[in-house]
Amino acid sequence: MNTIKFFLIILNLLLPLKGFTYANFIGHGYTSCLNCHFNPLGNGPLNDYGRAVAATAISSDAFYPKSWNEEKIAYTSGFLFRKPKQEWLRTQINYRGFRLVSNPNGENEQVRWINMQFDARLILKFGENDKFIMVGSYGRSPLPDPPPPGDDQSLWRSREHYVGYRFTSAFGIYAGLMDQAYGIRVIEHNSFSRTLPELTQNDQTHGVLLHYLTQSFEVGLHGHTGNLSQEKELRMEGGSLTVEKTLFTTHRLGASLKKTGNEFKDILSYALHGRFNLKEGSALLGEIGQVKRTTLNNADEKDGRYGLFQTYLRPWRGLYIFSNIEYVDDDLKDENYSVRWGPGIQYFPIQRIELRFDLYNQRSFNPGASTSDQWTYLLQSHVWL
Amino acid sequence: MMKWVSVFLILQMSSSVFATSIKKYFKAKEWQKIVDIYQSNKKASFTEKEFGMISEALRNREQFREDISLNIRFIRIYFNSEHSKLMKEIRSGASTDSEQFSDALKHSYWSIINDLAQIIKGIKKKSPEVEKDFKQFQMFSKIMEALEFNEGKTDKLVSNVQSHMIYLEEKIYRFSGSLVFNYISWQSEVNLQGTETAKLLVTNRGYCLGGDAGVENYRYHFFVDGCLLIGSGEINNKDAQPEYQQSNVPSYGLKAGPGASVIVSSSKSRIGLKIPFVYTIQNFEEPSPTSGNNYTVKQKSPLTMQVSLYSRFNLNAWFIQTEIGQYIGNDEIFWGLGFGKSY
Amino acid sequence: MNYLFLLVLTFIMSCQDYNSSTSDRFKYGPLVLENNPQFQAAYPVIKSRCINCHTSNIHDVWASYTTSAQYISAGLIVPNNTDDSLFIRYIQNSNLSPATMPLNAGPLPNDEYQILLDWINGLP
Repeated sequence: MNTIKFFLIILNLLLPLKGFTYANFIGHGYTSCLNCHFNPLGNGPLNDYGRAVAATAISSDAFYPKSWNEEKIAYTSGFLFRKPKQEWLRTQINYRGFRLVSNPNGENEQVRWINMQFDARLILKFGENDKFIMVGSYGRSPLPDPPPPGDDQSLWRSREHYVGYRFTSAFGIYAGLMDQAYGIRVIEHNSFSRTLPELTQNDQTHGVLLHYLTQSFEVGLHGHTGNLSQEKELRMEGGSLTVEKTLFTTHRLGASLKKTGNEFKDILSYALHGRFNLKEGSALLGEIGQVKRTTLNNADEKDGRYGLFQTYLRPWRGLYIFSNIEYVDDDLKDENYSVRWGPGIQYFPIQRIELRFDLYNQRSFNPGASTSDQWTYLLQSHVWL
Repeated sequence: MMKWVSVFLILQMSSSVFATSIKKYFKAKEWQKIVDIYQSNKKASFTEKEFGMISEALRNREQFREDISLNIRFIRIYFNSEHSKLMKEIRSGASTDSEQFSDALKHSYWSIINDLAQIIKGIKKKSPEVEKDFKQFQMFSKIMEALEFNEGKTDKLVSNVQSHMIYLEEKIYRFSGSLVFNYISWQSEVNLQGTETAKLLVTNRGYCLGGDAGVENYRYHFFVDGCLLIGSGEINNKDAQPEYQQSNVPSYGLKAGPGASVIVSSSKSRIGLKIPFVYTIQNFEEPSPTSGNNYTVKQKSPLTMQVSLYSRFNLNAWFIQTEIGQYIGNDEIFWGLGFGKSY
Repeated sequence: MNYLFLLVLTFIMSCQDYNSSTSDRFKYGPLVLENNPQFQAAYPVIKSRCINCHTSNIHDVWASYTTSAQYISAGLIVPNNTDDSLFIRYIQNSNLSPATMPLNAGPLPNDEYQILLDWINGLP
């Protein structure tokens, strides 16, 4: 049975109509995330198809023996290079760490190694086309340095765990701790499009997600109860909605809305986004959004705005050259804003390994003031088993 | 009369001599020897089998044009009427019953179309000759289609040759030009010179309107681009003395230079380098006598040079482009994000 | 199967609870500040000029610092030494390197900057 399934996966590889890990892989013709991820809106563990795509279409084939064809490479994409022994269980291990250098060569150069992610993922799946899934992750993720107050925060924790049931290929319900349905899930958790609406790497919420997918539309409606392990007064309750429409069969235009709040603040954010497939791995991603933050104890309102524009080029298989251009104005009442400009390289030398270099130049625009640009670079390695 | 009879007898004799040698060399796969025999006796009359063996030898020695001539001769000698009938059917658009035609004829067509494919694929530059070969190739692909012979292989061959012709076409450099509108930002350094020198930074933002002209093929783009720059900058002295601050200081200029890029996708997304020269004029007020006595504004040369990384993403004729550059000789950075239209 | 059950249970029981709203109580709620008039004067400046960014995500948690000792132990300030205090060196008014903060605004008004200097200079 497994052999047949793997064979079908290989056949599917020949049909570039599906989705993959990073939002920019729309540049390979993949519009929806569901085909490669268990989470229908992306992020988290890859399914068998996603692993095979990562091993073949995305990663370089330069380091395989000449005799290996795509089929053989795809066959080795399972956990620990093996074909899964049973249909109902999948396991994955992920590590992502980077050397972060701020103010390089400056007087205040700061060099840090951050183990951003080290987790194990377990997926139980049952029924035809994995109709019913249970997904969980557990691992180590960093706390701020120095750590936040309180002694209840652990380095070891579960970032997501949820169950999902697809009634049809078009409609599914997911419940548990998940990323919020909103905007483009870029992996740069510190991008302004993620920090301003509070969608960073730890901002998952418990809740229920309704997901609807057709060739031309994708909708995620997400009810949030906040993170239930937090104290009630801190939990961000509310909901979010994201809608995407397919344009010319290869591009996506979308809109998102989110309203959440706890006992201290309310956040209302809305955004428009687009993902454009420019063939052979080239892609453009863009998102522009606005966030209204209301402080409840004094009814103070602050409107902020952000923009994200990412470009991707693939000179050859396995290598992506990108630009990450961001804008943020966290208070529209004043005229100050910042632009962050970051060229970078992402290289998948072989399946399961991603090496990445990001350079960020951040410039502030302030009436009456001129400040030096801030420079940061990071050298990142990502390994998945 | 006797003379002609003698020639005929000699030819018959030599043919049988060739037959033995060709067969022997064919078994031993000594292709060159077969080719040598053929070259010395082109006008000899060969049997169907001999034609087949010589054809294979020619192909093995990569003498594709010679093989085409041989096969055409073979068709004329043995299958002239069948060939004429087939051509008539194809021209009239009538359906063809492939069973009516001999297998040897089909194999001969297959050899010719393969030879043409090899010839075309071996050519690196588009020429009238290759276009003539391609026309012939197209004619033989129609023949193969009508005969429904080696269908899968023929389709693959046709697809490969068509791709190669597209490649030859795309290799040709053609003029390309575009109009571009950029949002830009750059920093520059200004000195306040007095008893001591205070280094001040100007942060500018503005627009650059221009375009580029150059040549490009499917893989490379070489161009010269330029734009008129208009913007304004903020400047202040972080030090207490001399007190100095100005807002919205207008800046005008020109940015132009050569560039080259590599096109990495069929949608013509590209990445490259530019070396622009930038000439800017920006006039700063002198410090007021009360705050900056004895200090004067000293600007660096208005002409600077950059090295910039540039990328462009086409959505049909429209495109979006990004650029980030470093001024040569100092630490300041220039960047631009724009859109444009290709012509 | 029992192990699996335990594993699933572990996932559910061990949610992470540090996220963008962890410091909301400090950022937006009533705070009990250290009983030091100079710190109490400096805190509103820090809150309005610094804390919003320095508590926005995982990288900093300044909103939770309600005592000078917390700023000292975080390596941000050196008592009675403004030149060696990173907190001050980063502020544009300081003329010290890198002098880039606040990132999205110009230098602080002089009176606000002086309040910060007074706080650090007043620490034993």
